[in-house]
Parts: sequence; C-alpha cells; structure tokens
Amino acid sequence: MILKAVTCACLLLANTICFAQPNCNVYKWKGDALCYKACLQSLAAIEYDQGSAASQNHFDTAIALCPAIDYAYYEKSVPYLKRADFITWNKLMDKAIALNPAYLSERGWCRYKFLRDYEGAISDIDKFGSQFTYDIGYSGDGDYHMNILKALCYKGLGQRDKAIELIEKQLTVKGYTPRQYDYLHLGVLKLEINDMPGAIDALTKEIEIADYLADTYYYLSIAYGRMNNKAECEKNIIKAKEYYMTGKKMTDPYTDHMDKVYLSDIENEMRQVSY
Amino acid sequence: MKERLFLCCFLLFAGPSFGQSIFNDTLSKQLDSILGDDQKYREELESVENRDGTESQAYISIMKKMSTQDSINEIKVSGILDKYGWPGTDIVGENGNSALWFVIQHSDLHMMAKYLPMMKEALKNKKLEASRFALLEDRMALWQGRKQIYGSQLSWNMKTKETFILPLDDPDNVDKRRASAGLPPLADYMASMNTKWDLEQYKKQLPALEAYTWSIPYYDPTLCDDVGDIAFDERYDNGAFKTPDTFKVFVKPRYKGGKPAISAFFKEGYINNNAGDANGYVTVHLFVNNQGKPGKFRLETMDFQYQPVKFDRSVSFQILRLIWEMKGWEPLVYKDKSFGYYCYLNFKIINGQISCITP
Repeated sequence: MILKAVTCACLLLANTICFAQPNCNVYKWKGDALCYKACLQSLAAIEYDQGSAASQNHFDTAIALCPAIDYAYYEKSVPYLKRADFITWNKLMDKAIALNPAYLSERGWCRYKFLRDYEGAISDIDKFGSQFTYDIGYSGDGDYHMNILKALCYKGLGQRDKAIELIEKQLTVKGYTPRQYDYLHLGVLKLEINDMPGAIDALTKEIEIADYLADTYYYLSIAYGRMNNKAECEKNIIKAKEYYMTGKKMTDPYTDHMDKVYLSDIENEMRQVSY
Repeated sequence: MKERLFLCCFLLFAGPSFGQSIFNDTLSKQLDSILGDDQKYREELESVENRDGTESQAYISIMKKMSTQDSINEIKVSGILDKYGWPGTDIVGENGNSALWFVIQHSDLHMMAKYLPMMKEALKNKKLEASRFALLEDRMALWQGRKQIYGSQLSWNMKTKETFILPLDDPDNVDKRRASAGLPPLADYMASMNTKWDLEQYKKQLPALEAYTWSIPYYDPTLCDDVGDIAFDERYDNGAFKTPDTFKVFVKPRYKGGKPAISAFFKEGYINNNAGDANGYVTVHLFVNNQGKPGKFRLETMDFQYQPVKFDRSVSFQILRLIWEMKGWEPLVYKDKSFGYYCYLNFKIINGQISCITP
C-alpha cells in the first residue's frame, strides 16, 4: 500500500514535464496509416511507468514505424533527463527539434533547470523566438515566462543589468500576469546590485502576489539590514523562519530554484541580526 | 609500521625550537593522547597481519576499530586546528605536532584539502617539516587523480606479495625531489620495505599502475533495461548492493544539511589542479539504500555540447573520491518507513573549477 502510494506520488511528479498528448486522428485523416499506428504506440508507451523498458520499447516501435514522429522522440527523452543521462536526452531532443522546432523552448528551460547551462538555454530560447512570432510562452513546469527564464540565464552569466532589464520589460508587457517568483528574482537582483529601495519595492510586490515564500522574507530582511533598519530586518527574518518551518518556501521535485533559501541561510542571518 | 619508520626518521630531522611562544601543556597532553590512539590499532594491525593475514576476522575487526578511532581523532584535531591554527613544536611539543600530522594523514581527502592552506603556512613558518608535508602532498595527489611527486605512497600486491610504488611522476628525477623534501633516496626507502627499486622496470609498469589506481566506473546506459538503472558490477560495487532495493525510485538526494552541506563539502574539499581545459559536466549516478548507505557510483562526463568526453583525472577522479567520502546520505522516508533510491549529483565544470552543483 505504502509502495503504491509512493509510486503514485512519483508518477504525479512525472507528469509535470510533458508536452500535450498528440491527437492520433490527425494522422488517420491524413491517410498516414504507419504514423497513425506509431502515434498509438506512443500513447501506449505512456500507460507504463515512465522510463521502464516496456514504455521505452513502445516509443522505439513508434519511431521505427514513423521516423517523423517528434512526440515519440521527445517523450522517450524525458526519463533520461530526469535520471541525469543528459547525453542520451540531448541526442533524442536533437531529433525531436529537427522534426519540430517548437521543442526548442522545451529544451531551453530544461537546460537551465537541470544543468544551469545558461548559454545553451539562451541559444535555444532565442532560436525558438526567431522562428515563432507569437508570445514565446512559459517553461514546461509553469514557473516562468520564457523571457523571465532567459533573464535568469543572464544573471547566471553575471549579466545582472541585462537580467533586470529583461524582467522589468516582461513585467510591463500588456496583459502579462506576473508569475509566482518574478518579483522575488527581481528583488534579489536589485539586492545584488546594492539597490536596496528597488529590492524592497520588488520583494514587497512579491508578497502582494504570492505571500507564501520564506525566501522573500529572508531577502527582505537582508535588504532592511543593509539599510540599518534593524526592526524590519528582525521582523522579516523571524517571519522567514516561521514560513520555512511551515513549508512555505520555493520547492521543486527535480532541482532547486535559483535564489532558493535554505534553513541554514535563515539561521545564519538570525545569528547576525541578534548581535 | 611504514609510518612508524617515518616517524623515527622525522624525529631525527626535527630539532627543538626556541621561539617566544608559550608551551601549552594541556593541549600537548591532549595531543599525546590522540597520538597514542592513532597509533595503537596500527601497531596491533601489523602483528595481526603477520599472524593471521589480512582476510582474518581479527584483522577486519581491528580495521573497523581503527576507522572509528580515526573519525573520533579527526573531530578532535579539527576542533584544535580551528581554535589554535597549526601550533608547532614550541607550543605542543614534538609528539603534539606528530599527532596533528598523523591524524590528517590518516583522514580523508576532504579533511586534507580543508587544512592544506593551514599546513602550507605552517611549512612556510617552519612549524611543519617538509618531509611530512611531502607525504601529505603525495597522498592527496593520488586521491585527486594525479601522480605522486615523492614516491612515498605504496601498495601491496596480494598475489605476488610485493610492495609497489603507486603512480609516480617523472621517476627519473624522484631522488632530487625527495632530497629537497628531506627524504632518503627511493632505493633506500624501498630497501627498508625489503623491495628493490628498479627504475626502468617501474617505467614499463607505470601505465598498468595508473589503470589500477584510478579505475573509474563509467555509467553505461546500455547495461540496464529501465532508464537510469545501475547494474551491479562486482569490479566496483560493495556486495551489499548486489540485491536491488525493494522498488525503484529516482529522487533528489537526501543528505544531512541538504544542498548547502553538499556545496560546502565540495567547496572545502575540491581543489582545481590546473585542469584549465576541463569544461563541461561531471555527473555521478548512485544508489542510496534504505539504511542510507551509498553505493553503485557511476560517472558520466560530457562537454558543453553534450558530447561524451573524458576529463582530466584530477577533475573526474577527485570528484568521485570526494563523493565516496560523503557521510551524510539519508534514505527516502515515507510514512516513517525508509526506502532506497537512485539519485545523482551533477557538477558544472568551468576551467577545472566546480561552477555549480545540481540538482
């Protein structure tokens, strides 16, 4: 029973990285019997545990039947990514992208998320943007608009000003609703360039949008501390610990977010504050 | 025994110091006791080895006791070094100085790397003998995937019952380097181990010695049916990992202190040995069993184009060695029950330096 529950939990997590399932009837209507069969094989594959031999074999059959089926290459690649066989993952993604460049966006955020491959991610996102005129959309896990993710890549490369510029630009796009971490990252960037009022402003906005992150209060405490506002510094670090201990923090099943705060960070800061 | 011989030699070289420092009697006595604890099992081990052999229960039992004692000594010595720095013979006496060096020499790569800057400073200030520092350098070099400099680190061939020198850099000039560090010629050293030093023969054996010393278990995805599985390989794996755990799950590492502890461990323990052309990723796959014991370590290395590439050993082997030494692994706990799991650590390497660790 317990094993089943753990397995179910893992399968639920497994679903957070995936493209939409294909509509196999498209091939049927086109009269492409082999690709129709291949598509059905791909759907059969996802009925098994992700990454199991049974599942991967179905994808292999699909690819053999219809070498142009990008979805099978992509789905086959996902367990390699999650289980850190990045070489095999990338080979399969190369094939998926050659058949359908829309997967560039997918590979871009995965390169950022799993490998902190900032240059590679920017390259994929830019190629994707150059081929599609519509909004470049969101990361597969839904955490970021791809322009924000690109900004984080520039931050990773040490180009903080460019990162701030990209985030601020995205935040002013008409109709754009800020995501749960946008202002947090902006606040941290401002903190890093010693713009304390800018940091406090962004972090306060983050709290207005998503008041469930210990991380925000931690950085707010640091910003106030640097402005010698001891009362706010203390108040916010206490709140950071309170939030952290109740599970209100940045979380991800696969990797740790950029700017994520750990309990040891909060406790170190608390020691500094109570001098 | 080998190290006891060295201790005798070093005592001859090290003269008394007449500095202005005040002798710390309490600390000196504490270190005397640590030295005794460091040496007692090693002396016992030698007699049991001669009597019962290295595969006897008695030998294995002493090895375990020695390992536990070494861990205790490491904690004590870390506390002393963090508080006092490297005190030198004028403060803790000859035995005190020996105790510090022995405990570090018998510790792991992580501890050696952590205190290396302090020991370099002690060497510069003549608080640590060059010969001792040389032995530390040799051991660290081998554990970092590099050839040793002075030929001090030996191993034992179980089949031929012969002592041999682990991979040595530039064997032709080893005696010049040994002399500069205050060590006797290699032939004399080997003679004290009842072994003849044959330079030409050694050079011929060197490639085989390198393969023996730095055997890296690379990840091979073709060996398993399910993605990410690691097949048991008796060449590399502890027998405890022969039977797979009850079920397979792939998760983020469970480690005491979490990611900050992992990052701090590598920050302290990893040293870039001029591997400037090493760029890409080192991924270490492993399995942590339901008791929190890690095993089935497999390495995968690629460049920034995601193409397989073999890195300089001083990067790949050093990372592997440090992962072997990590002690904070925990099992996956769900509803008060412990499970084993697969996980990985991925190292982004820029010019030989660890740039970041994921996940």
